[in-house]
Amino acid sequence: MPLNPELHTTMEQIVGARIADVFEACDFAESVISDVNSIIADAGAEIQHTIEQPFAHIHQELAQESSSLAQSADAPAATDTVQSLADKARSAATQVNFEQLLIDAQRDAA
Amino acid sequence: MIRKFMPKIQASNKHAARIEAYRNLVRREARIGGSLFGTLPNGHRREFFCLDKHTWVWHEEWTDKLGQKHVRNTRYDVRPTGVVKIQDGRGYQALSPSEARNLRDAIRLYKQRVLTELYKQPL
Repeated sequence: MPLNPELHTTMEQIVGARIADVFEACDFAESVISDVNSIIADAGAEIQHTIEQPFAHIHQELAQESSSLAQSADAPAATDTVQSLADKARSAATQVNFEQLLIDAQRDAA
Repeated sequence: MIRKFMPKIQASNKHAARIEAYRNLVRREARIGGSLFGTLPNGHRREFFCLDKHTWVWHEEWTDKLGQKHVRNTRYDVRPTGVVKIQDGRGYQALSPSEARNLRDAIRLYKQRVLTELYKQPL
């Protein structure tokens, strides 16, 4: 029994729509995965180069700093600076009259 | 009064029939997709198909030796930036490069088999 023409047309439309959907889905997935794979492949080579660069720069800076520190023997070292500050604080403390401070505090409280 | 609504009912029935016909095509594709990965043991059912432009589904059902039924549903969400996997509705996982390549190969084969076997389309 031949298919109803209207039904035939309907089925043709449905099958056509599904074929188009399959093509679209397959092509889209393939393009995305291929792009991602090529990004990963490129990134592998890229990462190697970019990791080395900053470290090379840091090493260079450290090398320069240590050589300049060695050269400036007259300049006070960090520890000297801290020591001198501590000494200053101690001498300032000995100049304060704690006894007078206590007397003034008691007077204020009364 | 009924005659007034008949065209709407008929149109609605036609629309439902179209949707069901489309779904039947997807089901047939899913069976072809499931066969891409080799023969299955008895009691094991596998389906693989594209739901829409962005979504691929891997569905698997099997019964273990103790007679317990297992179901695993994996959805691959294809986005412009890459593919993520959602397994049994639990969280998104990125695909490893090798899994992505396997998926790509499966999709290529799916396209070939479905278009030639089911829709008699030349490639």
